[in-house]
Formats: sequence, C-alpha cells, structure tokens
Amino acid sequence: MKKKGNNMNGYTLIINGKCLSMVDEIQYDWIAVKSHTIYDLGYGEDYKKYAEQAVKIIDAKGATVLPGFIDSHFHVVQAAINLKSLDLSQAKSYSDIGRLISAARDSFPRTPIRGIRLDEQQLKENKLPTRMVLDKYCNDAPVFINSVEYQKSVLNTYAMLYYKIPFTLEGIDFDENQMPTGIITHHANAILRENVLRNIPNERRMDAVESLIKNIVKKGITTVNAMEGGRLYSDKDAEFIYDNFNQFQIDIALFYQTMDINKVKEMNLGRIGGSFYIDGTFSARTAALSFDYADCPGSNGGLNYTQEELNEFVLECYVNKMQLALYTIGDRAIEQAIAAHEYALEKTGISGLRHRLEHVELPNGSQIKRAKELGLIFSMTPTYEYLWGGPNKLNGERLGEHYKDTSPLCEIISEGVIICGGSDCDVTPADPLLGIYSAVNHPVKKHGISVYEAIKMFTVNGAYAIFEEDKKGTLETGKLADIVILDQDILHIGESKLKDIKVLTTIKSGEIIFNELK
Amino acid sequence: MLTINMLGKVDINYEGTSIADKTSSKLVALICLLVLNKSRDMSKEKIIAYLWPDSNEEAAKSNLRFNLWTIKKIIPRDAKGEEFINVGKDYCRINQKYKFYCDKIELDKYKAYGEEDIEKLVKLKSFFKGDFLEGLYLRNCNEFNELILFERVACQNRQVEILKKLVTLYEGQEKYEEGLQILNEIDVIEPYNENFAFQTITMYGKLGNRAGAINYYKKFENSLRRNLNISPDKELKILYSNMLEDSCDIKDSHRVNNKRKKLEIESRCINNVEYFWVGDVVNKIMEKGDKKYLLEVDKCFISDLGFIQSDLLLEYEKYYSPIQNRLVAVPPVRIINAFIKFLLHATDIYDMHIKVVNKENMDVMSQNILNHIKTLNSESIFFEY
Repeated sequence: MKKKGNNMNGYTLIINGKCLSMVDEIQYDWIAVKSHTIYDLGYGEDYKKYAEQAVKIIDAKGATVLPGFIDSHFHVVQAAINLKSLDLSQAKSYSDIGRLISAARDSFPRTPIRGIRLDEQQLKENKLPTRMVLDKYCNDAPVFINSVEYQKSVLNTYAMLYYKIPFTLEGIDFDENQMPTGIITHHANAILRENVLRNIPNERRMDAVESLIKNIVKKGITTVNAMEGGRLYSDKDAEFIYDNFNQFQIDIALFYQTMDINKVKEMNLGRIGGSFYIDGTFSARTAALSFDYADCPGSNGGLNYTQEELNEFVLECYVNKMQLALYTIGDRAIEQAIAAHEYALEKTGISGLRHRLEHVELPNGSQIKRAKELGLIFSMTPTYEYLWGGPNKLNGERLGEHYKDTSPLCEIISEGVIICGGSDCDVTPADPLLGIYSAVNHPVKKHGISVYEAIKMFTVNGAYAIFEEDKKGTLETGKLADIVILDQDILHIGESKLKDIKVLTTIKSGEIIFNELK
Repeated sequence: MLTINMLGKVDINYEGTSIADKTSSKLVALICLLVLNKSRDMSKEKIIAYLWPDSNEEAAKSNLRFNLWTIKKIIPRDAKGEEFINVGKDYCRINQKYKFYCDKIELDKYKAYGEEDIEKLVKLKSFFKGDFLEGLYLRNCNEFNELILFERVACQNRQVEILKKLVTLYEGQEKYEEGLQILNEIDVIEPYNENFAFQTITMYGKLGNRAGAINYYKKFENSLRRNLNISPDKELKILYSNMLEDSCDIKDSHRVNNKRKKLEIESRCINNVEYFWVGDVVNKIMEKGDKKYLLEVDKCFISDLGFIQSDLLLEYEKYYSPIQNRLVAVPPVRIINAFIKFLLHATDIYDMHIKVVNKENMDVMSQNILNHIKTLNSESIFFEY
C-alpha cells in the first residue's frame, strides 16, 4: 500500500465547494491540485483556466471541503490488531462470552482467539471466568482474553500451554489445588502481554494496519500521531511503525512511549512520549484527583511518579531538545506535569519545543494559564465527553458534581492554549467528525466550542502539534494536497447534525484514496 | 541408550536417532505418561482416561494396543536385552530393569534443601531447555493437559529454586562473577523481583564493580517504569543512592588511600597508519592501569575512542554492557577530544610517563594530537622519546 504520486502532468480540480482554508476563515470555491500539492485556489469560474489540463474534476456539490484530518492521538498497531480481535465489550455473562468465542471458533477453526474489552463489572457473575469455563466453549484453539483496560488476562487451558506463562511471577491466580485458574494479573500479566504481542509477526501487523487505514481514510484522516510502545503496548509496535512509516497511504507521526531518551535520539524522532502515564483513568479510578471519587470515598487515584522523578525526566527532554507528550487525566497529574515543565524551563530556558499534555481532562483555571505561559499544547479527546461526559454517564458517576469541570475546551481556547484533537483510537472511534460534534455539543454547554474552532483541532492545530504546519493543516497554495470533501456544509448543517455528516472523498498528497462522489 | 528429554520440546532418541519425530503426539504422550508413573503399574483403564477419554471402549483399547505395539517396535531392547515396557493384561509400566535416561527423572531427584554440590546444580540447571512438554496439547484430553500444566508449574518453581540455591552457594564461596551470571538468568524469568535486584546490586558491589551496579539499577528501574508503571521500593533506592555516593568516592579513595601512582608505558608508532600511536597509548594504559577506573570515563568518549581501538570496547563490554550501535565513522575532532578526556581522567589518579619508541614513524594525526597535548602543560603527563 505504498503512497503513489498523482498524475504529474494534469490537474485534479475540486469545484463547486465550500473550501474552508482554515486560514483567517477564508473560504474558496475551488481548488486545483497538481502532483502532490495544492497548486491554486480561487473563486467562481476561475478554475476553468485549468479545466483543459484537468485529469479529473470533482464536483463537491456545494458541500464543505477541508484540509485532511489529523488525528493527534491514535494507537495505530493496537487498534489495528484489536480490529482483528474478538470484541467482548457487550458480554454480560459467561454464556455471552461463550457464544462469541464459539462463533469465532466456527469462523476460523483452530486459529488462536484473542478477545478484548471484557468488563468483569458488567458480567452477571461479577467475576472473570476461569480457564475451565472457557474450555467449555473452546478447547481446540488458544483463547487469550484481555480485560477492558488490559490489566488482566484470562486464558483457556490450551492457551495456558500454548503461550509461555511465567508461573513463578506475582499475578498468577491459583485454585485450592494449586492449579492455575487461567486468570493472570500484575507482573505476570505484563510479561505475558509482552510475550504475546512480541510474538505477533510483523506481516500480521502490516496486514492489520493496512486494513485499519482502509477504514480510517473513509473518515477523512490523512495523518495520525501514532502513540506506540511502552507499558501495555509493545516496543515492537513502535519499531514496526518506525521501520514502515512510509509504506502507508497516510502519514504516521510516531510518538515512542518510552523513557529511553538515547534510543529515541538514535532514531532521530525528535519527540518522545504519548501515553506516558502520569496517572490512570476515571473508569479504573486511577486518575489522580484533588478530591475523592464520588463513588469511592477515600480514593482519589494516584500518581505514577514522584515530582522529583518527573522533573528529572522532563529536564532531560528539555536538555536534549525533544518534544515531550505526557499523559495526564486528573488535576493532580496535570499539576505535576506542569510543575515539571516549569522546573525544566527554569533550569534550561529552552522553549519552543511544543511540548504536549495528552487528554488533560480535568485542568483548573490556574493550570490552563500556566500551560499557556509554558507554551504547552493540549492534545484532547472530545469524544470522551460524548461517550462518558455529563451527569448521567461515567464522569457523573465517578466525579459527582465535578463532571462539570471535565474538558473545558472553551476556557482553554479563550486562554490561548492550542488544542489538537485525537480519538485515542481504539478507546473511542477514529472519527474526527464525531470529535468535532463532541467538542461543539459538550454535555456542559459552557465548555462547548464553535464548529470552526473544533475543525481547527483536527486540522491546523494538529499540524502545529507535530511541527508540520508548513506543509499541512490548511488549504493553501504549495501545501500538501491532503483534502477531505464532505457531503454537507459543515458550518450550516446545525450543531446537532454534525455527527451525521459523511466524508465522500479523501485525498492524500494529491492521490484520491477514498471516493464515494459520483 | 534411550534418552527422553521432557524439559522443552519433547525429544526421544535412541543412540542419537530421534524417535519422537516419527511418532504421533498421542504416542509421545503415552511414553511420557508411563515415564512419569515409572515406579508403578498403570491400569490400561487409567491410561485410556488420560489419552482417549472420548473414544468408545473398544476403539480406545485398540488405540492403546496399537500404540503399545508401536513403542515396542520403535524402541529397541537395551544392551541386556530388556524391553522398554512391560505390558500385562490390565496394566502396563516401564520395565524397571530397562536402562534409559530422562531429564525429568534426574530433576525429580533434586532435593531443595541439602544439595550443596555446585557442579550437580549446574548440570540440573542445564536441563531447562524450555517448558515441560513444550508444544504438547491433546484436544479433549483434559486430564492429560492438567497433568502437563501441573508439572509445568512445578518445573518452573524447581528451576528458580535451583538458580537461587546456586546464587547462595556462589556468594558463600565469594564467586561473585558466577553468582551474577546466575542472577542474570533469574532476571530473565523474574525481571521485576526486587529481592533479586537487591542481590544483583549487592553482588556487583562486592565485586567492586559499582558502575555495573549503577547500570543494572537504571535498567531495572526503567523496566519497572516501562512495564509496571512503578518505582523500585525504598530499600532498593537507598541501596542505589549509597552506591552512587561510593562511586563518587572512588577517585578520592585513589587519591587519599593510594596516593598518586606512577604509570609507565612504552608506546609505538607506525608511519601512515592514522591514529596508530593514539590507539597504542590507550591500549597500553588499559593494560597497566586500573581498568575499572579508566572505563568510568563518559561512555560517549569510550564509544568515540573505540572507533580507533576496538580493544577498549571489548574491555568495556566485559565490565559493563555492550555499546549499542557501534560507530561506523567518527570525526577526527571527536577522537581527539575523547583521547584527551581519557588521558585527563587517567591523570586524576596517575602520574603518567609515556615513552614513545620510534617517534619518527608517528602518523600525522597522532603527531598533531601529541603536539596539542603538550600545549595543555599537564604536570601529570611526562613524555620521553
């Protein structure tokens, strides 16, 4: 699936569009693409000067044309492999699990089955099944199931014998007869996951990633920031992306989730981190809050580093002039990350590295101001709010009245902090239009932003967040022809209908990689 | 002689010729089952329950008969004419008079408490070529699969026990290098175990290899961070910070306790071979000086100098860790800088007397470097031609 060039001699014309350049709200009627780049933009019938040499003319039929979407937080390999895995998120009982496993076994006999997103809280049995339970549904292929946040695994007996299980490690669950139950947690789970993920051959990775990309170009995505490697993932994923980044239809900017600065320097990546966990999640009540969880008094999550440890690491990134992306959810984690940046900036005086905080779900006013001072970019996932925001969903359950404080997009933008948007795929769907909808229709009205600002998150701001604003993120002459044609006028369809908009055409570097326009 | 290895992928061979390769999984399983029960009769009913639980009685009996016949056919009698298996009407078992070797039987002889023979333990350690009956799984044979699982857990525990015992014995005999080697093997099995990490760092300390201890700690800390998102525990952190303080004391101890030592070397030149003299000086200093101390110069200088003197890299690897990504080209300015840093580091504890033999043959780069060093006017370096 190597990138191909467009017809070098002719133009591709997109006419009759509302071409939002994302520069000073300028809107053109047409775009002329030549080779990989945008050759010209204009109004009315001026495009006709290129018509004779046009190899293709696309009529946008009055709909919006945008720069290709940039998804700023995406777990490419994990999402791709998960796409080929068995989704158990809807399982409510052991028999549901069994039904899904049996169906998978029947579709692909004797092939290892990897189940994902099993939520034990959701099961009527209220606990994970043992290997004996899984054996009833499948005993002729290895079954390896991951819990919803990958902290636990369950294996059938075949898988217990098929994969290399570190039985002496902490985290192997034994029954009263000292036989393993198949439930694996803690250290053993970390090793097992690493073993399993490392043993996935790169051909399978390639196959999975290519399938994933075929799907996401339908959503208008032309660049992703790939958060790969490190805890819960596999360094082999990061190395795979590094080795193959130019083999894909879209651009992939790699963020290596490691603390090994020297390794990243040797790879000449210029950036480090991604899901570099300063804290955890609301769902697991591990996000670090300055108040107790509403549904678990006495617990306010935890930080994974001491301030001293984080200061040391952040300082090292500054010294090595490396852009750093830190994962922060709760306000205590955000505080720790900002304090570490203040420390490093004071020590080095080095600025302009466009450091990022990922997700930043619960920042307070003072933190937003300090982030602005530091030049930090917030890489946020507005779809979290669509899925879990508001009083009656997860955020209300976990945070009580503090649900009102999550993802205050409007306040952040008002303070002048740049926000780039991501899906955290496959935690939420890879769908920038859903992200735009979610940012505009925030469950807490005052935090919602305009459609134009929301589009900026997935275009121009996304480009800025990876130092690529010179070549992408806007529709301007000379920039890469990364272009998306929608089926509606995004600025006038009405806020509640934003998520119903469809992408009709996706163009990457001048090549049409998805097209449903007749 | 018949050899049966069960630790790792099953290997059954007679006088070096593989038998397992020519047989079915069920037949391999039957042999393993009989070996695991070698000291008792196994009823055919029980064997059928293990290996043909879902066949009807007649078919199961016929399968068992066929497999026992096959075993008889493919495993020759021993030197004394004994058959491998004794088959009765309702039972069968391994013939106790038949001479054969099995790694699992040898392993089962090991008694955790009391074994003090290092040689014996090292031999036992060598048995572990993989998991017990690796790769073997019999569909619908739940009882047999449970047996494999049970033995697999037991064998892994046994392996760690043996390694731990070896560490204790080596430590008792002050054989720290050997002890560290075993700890490295344990590290592969239990990479997050803080007790083993503590032992490893302590043993590096006892060896006097503080840099090794520090490197190990950093690696361990990174692995905890990366995979478990936790920090090392307090005890380990204290041990590490003590180690760091000790490391800072090295130079002082050389200065205070040993006073300044004199280091005399004789270096040689070869005309037209770039940096030959520089490389020779490095080599001779390493030969005569305190290697451990000399190698504490910043790793990047070792790496740069290693470009012209690969012995330095080999020494570094012996004491610390391999330098990843060896350089394919280093600009001269970096080699010069690294050489000067190396010399100055040496002069922190030594008064250097460098004799240059056949100076007239010195290559141009070395000549320039020598001239530059002279301009530094170091009181601790004396050249003789």
